[in-house]
Amino acid sequence: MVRIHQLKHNFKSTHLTYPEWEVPQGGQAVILGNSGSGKTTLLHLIGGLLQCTSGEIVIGGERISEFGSAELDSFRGKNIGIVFQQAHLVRSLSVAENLQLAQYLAGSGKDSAKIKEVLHELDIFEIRDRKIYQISQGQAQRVSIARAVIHAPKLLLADEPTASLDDENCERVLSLLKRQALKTESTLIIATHDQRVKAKFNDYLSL
Amino acid sequence: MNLLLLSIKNVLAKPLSSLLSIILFGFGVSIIVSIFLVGSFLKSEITRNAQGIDLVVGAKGSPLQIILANIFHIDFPTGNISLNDANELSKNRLIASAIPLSLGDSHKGYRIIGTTLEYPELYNAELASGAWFEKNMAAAVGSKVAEALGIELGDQLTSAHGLSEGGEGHEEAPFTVVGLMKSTGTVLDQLILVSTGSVWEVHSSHGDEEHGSHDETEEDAHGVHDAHEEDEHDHDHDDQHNHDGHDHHDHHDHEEHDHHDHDKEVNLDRLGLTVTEEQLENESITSLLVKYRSPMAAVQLPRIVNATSNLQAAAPAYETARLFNIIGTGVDVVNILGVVIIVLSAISVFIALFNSLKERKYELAIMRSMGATRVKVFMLILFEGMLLTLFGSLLGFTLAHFGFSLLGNASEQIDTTFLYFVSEEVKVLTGSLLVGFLSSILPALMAYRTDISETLAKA
Repeated sequence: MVRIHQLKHNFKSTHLTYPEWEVPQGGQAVILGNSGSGKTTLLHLIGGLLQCTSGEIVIGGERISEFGSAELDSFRGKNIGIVFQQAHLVRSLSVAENLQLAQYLAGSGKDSAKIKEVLHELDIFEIRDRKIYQISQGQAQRVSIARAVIHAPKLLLADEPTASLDDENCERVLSLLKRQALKTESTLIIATHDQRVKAKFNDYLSL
Repeated sequence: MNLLLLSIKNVLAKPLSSLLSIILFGFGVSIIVSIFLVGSFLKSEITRNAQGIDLVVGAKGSPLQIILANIFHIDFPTGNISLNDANELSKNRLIASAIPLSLGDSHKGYRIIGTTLEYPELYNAELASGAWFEKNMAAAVGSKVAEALGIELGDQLTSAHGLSEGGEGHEEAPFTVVGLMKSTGTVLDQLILVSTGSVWEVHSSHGDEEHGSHDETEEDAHGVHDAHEEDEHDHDHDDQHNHDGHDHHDHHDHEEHDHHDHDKEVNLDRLGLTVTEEQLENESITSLLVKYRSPMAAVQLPRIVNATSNLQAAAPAYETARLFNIIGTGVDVVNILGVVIIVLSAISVFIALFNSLKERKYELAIMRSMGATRVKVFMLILFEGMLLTLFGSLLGFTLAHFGFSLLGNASEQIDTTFLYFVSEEVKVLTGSLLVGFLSSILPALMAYRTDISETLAKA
């Protein structure tokens, strides 16, 4: 499903070279490394947020390392969902509207039933009409997960989703991510320096 | 959800900052639109009221005052001219037609104009009911006058000396309303038209009048008619031959004349008047509305008129252009003020977008990560800026039109409505949207160039 081959990325004085790596369809893996090791960069490369200097990235048979910027935008919108460390929801919109926006940007069309379903699954249905400033951090993170999975992406990426969470919440978020990935048959890759995460996954890449 | 909806929500999410931009823009636009509205309205009013009048001949004085008094009926006349002078002038071959006007009296603040049927014809006026005012002491009333005073056919109107309310009355010589005019959208609507002879008669004594066979004139009518304010007058209507205060002509003493020598009628066909010889010699009118026979007249006639000691020529086109020149400087200053406010509001739109962009850069980067193209985030910011300026413009247009309609309510002389539009408004709208575009293009470009990965890596 996800394969990187002779992947290199240079910016300014930093030169990153990544090992060969592959995650099968539906697989769940962790990119492990300390800050500065290039794990976020790798996640951005795989997520199509960044274009690599050389090498190859293949996702679901598509060689995205060859894509132009507009092609990447559209591929990303359709096939990839990303959960960031900070939720960064659109503040002028309500919870439900944030999910509608995600559907619109992914180009998947409006699907209220799907939104309702995801809201229920992530236990945020009750707060669907609240503005972003009216919900808690934990709720915001669940909304951001909902936003990433609303269009059932083939690949679900998460960047340090547990960094600022206590053990209990860390556990909850990880199981949520895993469950959502299984449900939509998405491949899940989490970039983290958090050893608690590593323990939950068999497949990992250490940087 | 779509970009437009999202941009509306973004604008609404910052109500105060958005309101500031909208209000600023609105004020700038309303100032400029108001100037266009009033300017265009005045010009069309002037053109409509000055139609068919190439030259106004009145007594010596300010030409602008002659125009204002005799065409727009808003200023006081400069004085009177003698019927004889007017008659002599009207025979000039450069003149196609000449309409005599006699001003100086009013009824409840509405001006009574002594004239001929040519005058309403000039404005293509039609009667709503009744007849025209050929008969002596008969009046045809303009639509606004009739409406405001509730005048009906057969009513008696007392004329008062002077052009403002409260003048000394001529109670013993009331006019009878014989006609009501349809609305013409011109100054005619605010006038009461009577025959020239009637005005003379009102100012003469009425004790020994014999109403009857004479149409327009009275055998004994030789009273004064001074268009100036009533101050110098002291009408004593018991005195049969009162002509004090007549400052234009040296009257010979009527008492010594045998009236019947002057009873012979003369046709002043160029003026459309039939008068007695005595009247021709002694009476006066306020002005002549002249239409040229050829363009040549525009050059020659004013010179001929001004060479006559008592006459002054005033060309409406020239005088109104002069008037606009005088007020033009003030208008320019106000216009500059409007532009300055619009520029300020453009800066406020820019700052509002710029600030919100700083706050929202992660949001925008994440939207990009969710599949939004560069063009989409560019459009989003552009929409937000354009929305602010569009609403600002709409506010401005509403304010301007509202103010303009109030102007009409405030004064009976002007008839303005909320829905009066001028072609310049399209330019103002286009211009203001362009300003909105320019002030949002830079923030939009910044959004366009956001580096998603870099922004999100810092998050």
